[in-house]
This record gives sequence, structure tokens and C-alpha cells, in this order.
Amino acid sequence: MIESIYLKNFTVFDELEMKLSPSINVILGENGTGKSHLLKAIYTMGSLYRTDRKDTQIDESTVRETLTSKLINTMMPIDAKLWKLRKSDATREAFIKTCSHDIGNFEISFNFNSKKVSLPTSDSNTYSALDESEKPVFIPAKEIFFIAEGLKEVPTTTIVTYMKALHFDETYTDLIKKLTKPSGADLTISEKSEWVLSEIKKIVRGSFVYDRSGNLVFRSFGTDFSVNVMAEGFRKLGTLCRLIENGSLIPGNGAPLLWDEPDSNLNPLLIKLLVETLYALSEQGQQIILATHSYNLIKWFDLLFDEGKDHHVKYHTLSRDNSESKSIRIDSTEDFNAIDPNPILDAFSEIYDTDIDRILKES
Amino acid sequence: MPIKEFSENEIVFSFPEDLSKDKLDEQGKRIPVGMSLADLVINTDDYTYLIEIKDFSCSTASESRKKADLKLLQGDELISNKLTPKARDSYTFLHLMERVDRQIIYVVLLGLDGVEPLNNKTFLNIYKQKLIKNIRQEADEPWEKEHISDCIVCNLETWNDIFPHWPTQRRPMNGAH
Repeated sequence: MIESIYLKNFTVFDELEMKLSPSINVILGENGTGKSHLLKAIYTMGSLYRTDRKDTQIDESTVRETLTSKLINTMMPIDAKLWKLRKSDATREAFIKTCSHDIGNFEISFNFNSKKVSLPTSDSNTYSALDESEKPVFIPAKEIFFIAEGLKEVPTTTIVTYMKALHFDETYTDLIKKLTKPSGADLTISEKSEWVLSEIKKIVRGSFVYDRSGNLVFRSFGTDFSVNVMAEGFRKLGTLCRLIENGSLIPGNGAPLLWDEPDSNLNPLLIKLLVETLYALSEQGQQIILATHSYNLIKWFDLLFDEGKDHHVKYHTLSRDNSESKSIRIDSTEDFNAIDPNPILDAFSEIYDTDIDRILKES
Repeated sequence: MPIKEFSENEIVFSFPEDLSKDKLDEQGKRIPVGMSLADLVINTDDYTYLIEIKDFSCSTASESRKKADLKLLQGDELISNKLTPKARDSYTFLHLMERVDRQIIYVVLLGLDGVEPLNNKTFLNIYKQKLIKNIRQEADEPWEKEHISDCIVCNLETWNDIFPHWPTQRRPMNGAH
């Protein structure tokens, strides 16, 4: 679980601190305000190492190298240069710090022309590798289920090459690895996660399973269909099912679920189910951090909010302030009606106003 | 310019005295049997406005009454059973009176003060889309003639933005402010 992230001179951010809910975090903001950058920064910082243990230490040079590589492959700066992730008009170093009770605090920095990230200079720094199950899950905006299936026989190193060549960042490659992970025979799925799976299966009228030849298929009423013929929205829900079924997403184990635009390609009628499933996961201790442009999604979070079930949602809005530099600022609230600024409602207001203008255009 | 007030219970409008307006369902006025008419017709140089007022925030209404009223906003009941027939019947009435000589805009003013989940442009926008869809097609087949050019669903605040020359306000009947 990530408690907070602090960014300075990083990509579009001058200086920004985000304090996260242990439960559900919804990031809002117009395009270009850094929602995906924020998600990817949280993901990168939580993906490799923990700093709270003294055992199995990894030397700092390896940490710097792997973390630099992770940051570059996740953010994909121009020419794969680390320093191009520093805010273009910054004169000081870029800095990222995350705080976590589960895996410890972590900070990195880099400056103009840095080839690798720097770590804080302290004798007390310790780094040990995270277990696979402790790593966050990132579901990017583009649906990837069918690509994952096509690549399941391909060696990991080749997948990385393929995906890079196609300009897919490492969040996609990481998700493919998780989706193609076989289901553990001894995996116990909680009752609430089983509920999530059964509800999704009811809606999509079937489930994603492996047939006798080991191919992933969509099975509906005894008939198998190619995953490719499934609607993209259904595949998105299938992605969530697969991650739960194969133990890549275990609510309560501390690793956050990051999801960029979970509503994309999803019929608005399915968004209620999506929110119900996210609440069900959060009730089991799953931290969720998502970015969205969807009014339907945030409104369903509001409508299905149940204090009795310990629901906790924090809305974070990224926007440009009124300063000359138009810095990105963050405003966070737990009150749906107090989201301010609210770019989604602003968009609806503009639609309303434009509609009135059109109706009365000749007056 | 002299102003004349027009009120529909607690909702009070200030209209210029020379504005052409007609209250169709005035008390004591005989109207055709089976017809359900909008509250007010206003004619401007460009449009005929059919104004229908539905107040969900009347200060004298009991809580149970308000809840029952709000139920009407759920689903399509108010749109199907009240707002759409009023638009159609009002158009028919005006047509038979040979008073249709310009585009007709149907304006539904919803008193939603304090009904926070609904008192916003998102709801008004969605409600407008549902209303115009229903006005266009009430049966298996859509109407061949576009009798209502368009509709506007507004609350008191947006009414004042849209029609600044015809301001409206709530004047509580129980004397509260």
C-alpha cells in the first residue's frame, strides 16, 4: 500500500504531493495534466524494491540501474533518455519519493544529463527485491488480453523487444506476464473475489478458460469462442477475472491495483458492475488507484458508496493553476459533491450551455 | 420598462409588461376535454416558448410529498405521462387556433433547489435528451412532423442565465427566505 507520493520537477509536475487513501483513489483531470504519469510513477516506485528490511540486500548500483531501466521503459521518454523525464523548464534535479508502511519509503532523483537515478546518500539505506506477489498490478488504458494470449509461447525477452518496437510501455509487458501466469492449483480465492468473478461471468455470459490444447478461449454455454471475437469491454472485465483467478491480484496483500481509464471501451451499462467489483475488492483491503474521464464511473462510486461496508473513496483532481507557469496542482477530497475543480462536470456544463446556445442561436 | 410579475405558486417571474404571453391552463378557463396544456406560452420575434413549471422544492410541501414528487423524476414517468403529452397537446391547441407561425421551444423549468444530486447541469442535460427523444417518438413510429423544434430543461439558476430579461426567483409562501 502506498501512502503518499511526492514529485518535484518530474515530467509535467513542478511540485506535487498526493496523499493516498488506503482504499479507492480516483484521479481526475483534463488531458495533459499528468494522470497517467502519476500512475506510472507510483507503479515504478513500488515495482522493484522494498527498503524496510535488512536481509537479502541488493547493492545500490544494481538498484540504480534496474530502477532507471524501469522508469525509462514505463515512461518512455524521447530517445530513452532518463533526463528527458525532468520537467523541461526545471533548473534543479527531478525527485520522486513514495512512502509506504508495507515496503518502506523510497526516493530517487536525477538531473540534466543523468544516465542513472541517484539514491539518497545514507549508510542506512537497504534495498531488497519485492516478491512477485508484492508488486503492484497496472492495467493500462488499452486492452491487452488478446495480445497476451498471442504471446504466451514467446520468451519474455522477445516480448519486451516486440512491445518496445510497437511503442507499448512496460506496464503492458508486465501485464502480459501476469495474464499468462498459470493459475496456481493451491490458490485460495476469497468469497468476495469469487463473487466478483461470478458477477462478471453472469454479465459476459461465459468465462475465459484454457481449453485442452492450452489455448485461452471464451467459453459460453459449453461452446468455445476465440478471445479475439469478444467485445473489448468484455475482455477488459476478463482481464480482471484472469488476474484474480491466477493469483496476480490478491486483495489484502498490500500491492496496489493501478488502472488507467478502466471505463474505456466499456459500455456505460457495465460501469456499475465495474464499480461494484472495485468496491468488493477494496472491502478486502485492496488499494485501488485509477484515473478516469468518466462521469458514469465517478457517479457510480458516489451512488454505491456504503459507509457500513467501510468504503473509502478519495477523489484527486489534477489541474493547471493560475500562475504564469500554469503548474499542475492537486486537490483531494473525500466528498463527491466537493470535487473542485471537476473537469468532468465542467464538460457536461459546456455541453448544456452549447446546447442552449444552439437552440436559441437565432434569437 | 414596466414589469409584470407572473407566479406559479412559489416561483415568481418578472416579465416586461409588453411581452406577449398567455396562461393556457388558467383557473376557470375552459380547456378542451382530454387536453393537458403547458403553464404558459410566450411569443417573441423568433420563437414560441411553451413553458412548463414543475417545482420539487416548494417550501410548503411535506417531506413525503417532496419524496413522491422526486419519484416522478426517476425513470420516465414524468416525461412520458406529463411533460410529453403537455408538449403535444399544447402544440395541437396552438395549431388548431392557428397560432403556430414560428419555431416552438418547449422549456421545462424544474424547481430543484436543495435537491443537490439533481440540481446540476449534468442531470438537466441528460433529462433534456430523454425528454426530446420521447417528444419525437411517443408510439411505435416517430412523429413525421417535428412539432417541437427543441426543448430546454432548466432549474432556476440556469433559467436566469438563459433568460436574463425574464428573471425568476423563489418567493416562499410560508414567509421564509
